[in-house]
Amino acid sequence: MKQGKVLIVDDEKEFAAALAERLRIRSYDALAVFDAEEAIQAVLRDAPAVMVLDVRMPGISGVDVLRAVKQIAPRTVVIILSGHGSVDSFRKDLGNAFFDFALKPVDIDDLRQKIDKALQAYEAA
Amino acid sequence: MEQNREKDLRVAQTTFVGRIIASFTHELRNYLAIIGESAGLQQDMISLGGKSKLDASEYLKFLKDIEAEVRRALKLITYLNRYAHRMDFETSDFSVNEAMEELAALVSRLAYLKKISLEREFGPDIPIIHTSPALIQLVVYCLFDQMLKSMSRNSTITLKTEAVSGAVAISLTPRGTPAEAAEEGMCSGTELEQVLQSIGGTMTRQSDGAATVQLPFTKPAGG
Repeated sequence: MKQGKVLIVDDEKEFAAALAERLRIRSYDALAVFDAEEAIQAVLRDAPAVMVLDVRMPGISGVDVLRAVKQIAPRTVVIILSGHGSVDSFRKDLGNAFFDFALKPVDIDDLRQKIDKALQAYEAA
Repeated sequence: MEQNREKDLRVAQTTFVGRIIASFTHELRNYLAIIGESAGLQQDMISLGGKSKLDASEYLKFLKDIEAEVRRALKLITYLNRYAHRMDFETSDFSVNEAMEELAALVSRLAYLKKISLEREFGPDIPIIHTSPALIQLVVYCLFDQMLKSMSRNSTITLKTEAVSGAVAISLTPRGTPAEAAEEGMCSGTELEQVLQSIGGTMTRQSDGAATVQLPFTKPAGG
C-alpha cells in the first residue's frame, strides 16, 4: 500500500466509487465521499495526504471546500477535477491553492502520475 | 434605440446558448466519466482474474451503470438537438409542453448545483401554437435565472403550463427562502417585455415573486 490517504470527492457517486476502487486496486489508500459536508468531515477525521476534488458540486461549491480544507489541513495537497474545459477560471478564483488539475473523464494513468507527484509534495512539505 | 434593443437581445440569446452548451458539456463529461471508470474497473477485474475483492453482484452493478449512463446521455443529447433546431426558423408550429420539457431538462443541472429543485406541472391538451419557440425559451430561461439567483438552498421553482381563455400560460413560481444577497439576473424586465411584445405575449408578476407569461393561441401555419 502506498503511503498517504487519497480522498476522492465527487457528487457523481458511481464515478467516485469506481475511481476509488481502481486506485485501491493500484495499492492507493483511497476513499470516496460524495458531497462537500462529507468531504470536510473526512478531512477533519483522516487528514488525507491528497484530495481529488470535483469543484462543481451542489450546495457548498468545491471552491469553498478547497478554501475550508486549506484552513483545516493546510498540508493536504489538492488536485482539482472538473468537467470545465479550462483551468484558467480556477486560477482566477483560487490562485495556487491547488496543486494540479484533471479534466473529466480522467485517464487512470495520468491521474496516478498526478497523485504520485502530489504524494511527493505532501511528504516534502 | 432600436439598434440597442437588437443588440441587447442578441447578447441575451448568445449568453443563453452559451450557458446551455456549458451545462450540457459538463453533464456529458460526467456521464462519460462514469462510463469510463466503470469500463476501466471491468478491465481491472478481468486483469486481476480471481484476485478481486468485488463479488459478481458488484461487477454487474458497474455494467448496469454503463448502460444507465448511456441512456442518460442519449436523452440529454436528444434534448440539446431539439433545442438547437428551435432556431432553424424564426417562427414555427410547436408544442409548448415539449419546448418547456426540453428547457427544463437542459437547465435542471443549474438548479441542482444550487440545491434548488425544479418541478414541472404541464397541463394537458395545450394546443400547438405558431410563434418563436427560441424566444419563448429565452424569456422563460431569463425568469428562471432571476429566480435561481434570488433563492437560497432547498428552495423549489415550479414551471407550469396551462391553457387559459384563448392563451397558453407559462408560469414560474419560487417557493422557499430568498437568498441573503440576490444577484442580478441575465435579462432586465424591460428586455423581457420587449421580447414578449415582439411575439404578441404578455407577462405578469405576482408579489410572491412568481411570473406568468401568456401567449395567445395562434393557429399553426399548417392549418
